[in-house]
Amino acid sequence: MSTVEQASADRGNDKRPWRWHILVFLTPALLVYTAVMILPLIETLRLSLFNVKDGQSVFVGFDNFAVLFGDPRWAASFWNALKNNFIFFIIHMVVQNPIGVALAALLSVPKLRFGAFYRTALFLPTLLSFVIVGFIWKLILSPIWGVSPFLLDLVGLKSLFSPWLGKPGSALIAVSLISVWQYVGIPMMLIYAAMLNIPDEVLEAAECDGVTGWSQFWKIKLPLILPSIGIISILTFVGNFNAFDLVYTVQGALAGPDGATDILGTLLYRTFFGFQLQIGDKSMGATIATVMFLIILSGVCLYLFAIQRRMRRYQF
Amino acid sequence: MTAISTLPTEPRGKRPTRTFAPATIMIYGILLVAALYYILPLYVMIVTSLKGMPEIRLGNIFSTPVEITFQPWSTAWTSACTGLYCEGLKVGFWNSVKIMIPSVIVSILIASVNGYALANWRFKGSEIFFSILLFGAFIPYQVMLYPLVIITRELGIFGTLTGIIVIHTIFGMPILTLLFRNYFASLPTELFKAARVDGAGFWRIFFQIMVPLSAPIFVVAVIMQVTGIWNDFLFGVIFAGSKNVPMTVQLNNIVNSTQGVKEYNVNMAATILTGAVPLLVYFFSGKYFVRGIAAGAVKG
Repeated sequence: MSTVEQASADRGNDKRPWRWHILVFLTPALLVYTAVMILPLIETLRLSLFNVKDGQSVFVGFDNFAVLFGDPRWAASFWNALKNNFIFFIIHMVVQNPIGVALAALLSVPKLRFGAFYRTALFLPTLLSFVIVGFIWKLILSPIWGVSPFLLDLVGLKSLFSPWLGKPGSALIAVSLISVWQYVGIPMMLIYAAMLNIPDEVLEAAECDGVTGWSQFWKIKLPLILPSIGIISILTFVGNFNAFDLVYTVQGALAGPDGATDILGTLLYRTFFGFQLQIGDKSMGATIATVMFLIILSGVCLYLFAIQRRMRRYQF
Repeated sequence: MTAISTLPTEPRGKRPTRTFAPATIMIYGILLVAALYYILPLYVMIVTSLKGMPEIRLGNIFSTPVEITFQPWSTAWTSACTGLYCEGLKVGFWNSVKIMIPSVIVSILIASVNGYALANWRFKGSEIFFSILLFGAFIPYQVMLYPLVIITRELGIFGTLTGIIVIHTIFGMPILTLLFRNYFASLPTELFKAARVDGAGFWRIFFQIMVPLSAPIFVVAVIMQVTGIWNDFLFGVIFAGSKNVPMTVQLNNIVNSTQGVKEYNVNMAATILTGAVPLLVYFFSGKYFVRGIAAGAVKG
């Protein structure tokens, strides 16, 4: 009796016999996984502490980082990329996630008609390759072929149009908004699913107390979906600091005009593999990769230890 | 007592909101505008791909084609040029299929068993195993790119079909395992216990209890993997080798080629063809997608 209860109390714990046969199933996966993901990571971290001197790899400690942060040849482009990356992230947080939440709230209105149609339409670009999205938006925003001058002309605002992707002042915002356009479906879907998971009893109780519509969203639904908002925030953070593809296809590896859309991903790409006149530099590339890794790691840790713990209180 | 019998037959209180209340109109209005904003670019793509070049040069990008032609589509499929080769997108399409099918099947098989073991058969070190796996989901893959090139070259699979399949399989693992683990953990424990009492083992419980209950999460996993692998670009450029160039890379070469006249209709047709596979997968299984996400993905 007691053994049954113990076994049922937790699905296996240290008190049970060591389940070696399961480990046998998992070991091949673990080995391959280590070889392909963990070893390269360690190798990159190691490379960032070495540099090539006189054709030999020499341990240089944190010199590479000092060069990256302080040396005029590297620092300008690095800080520029870091700043752009933060702007890129902030635009996503301010535009993409609130719109995603708002759309999810609208989609979860009871008895909504054509709900599946709206959901599908808004989720479509998420399924497309960024090569496609970049190509479409380059054409839409193109001053020659473009759809947007035409559309603005329809409402009499043609004077507002300018080649946004080509101007240093607006290129980063334009690229960020393209990315927002593509990925708004992800927060929308996750929040929509979270709202479906809110128990009907809670909403009925709220309605009995006269909390409906707008105030129901703010007072009942929003606090209950806060954990999901936390998850989409951290997903956005990781995604944005990993971003590379869209900038690469829309603006090229040089992330023009004049480095205005250069983010850490494109900087890393140019540094590692070289581009045009620049020769690939493995050590500095590894250094930038390490910095990216540390930024993402600190963001994830902040989320796990500071934000998520606090939010658990709102869960049932 | 009498009060009850004299109640008016009409229900009292505020009338329920009508279908065309201002709030309802606003909701539909916003959704419609949002949907248009998303559909319009796709509409332009489809319409343009059906026009001939002279008609495109006239402007009027929103007008429906006067003369529908499927020429751009067949050109894109059979003879669009990337660099010196003019064999069309079909080469890239079949390459992508060859890469996608094994990677999707293998990664989902492994991840579902892993997720099942981690959710139901906790063993010593399973938490560590899971943390290592989860850790992988957050590492930027560019960070590992260069050492990965060296490791795959050492293994002799750099620039081969096997190489790119292995890479996709492994990079899909962390997030898929998390998905499956959360889903299996959300199934009632009693099912698992009852099966154990009846003497079912590891695989039997998996195939006879868990898998039949997990259609939604398998659908989510398939959609995620198909779109992820089909849309991949960077791994394709680096690891696939010149013989196995996937469709997205080929598309990029076609639409970004700077030589010759830009054939917008061919480019558009090529773009739609490349996007078709993930879209079709989503259309045929989208119903399960929301359910699967609700069941598994959001619980971090």
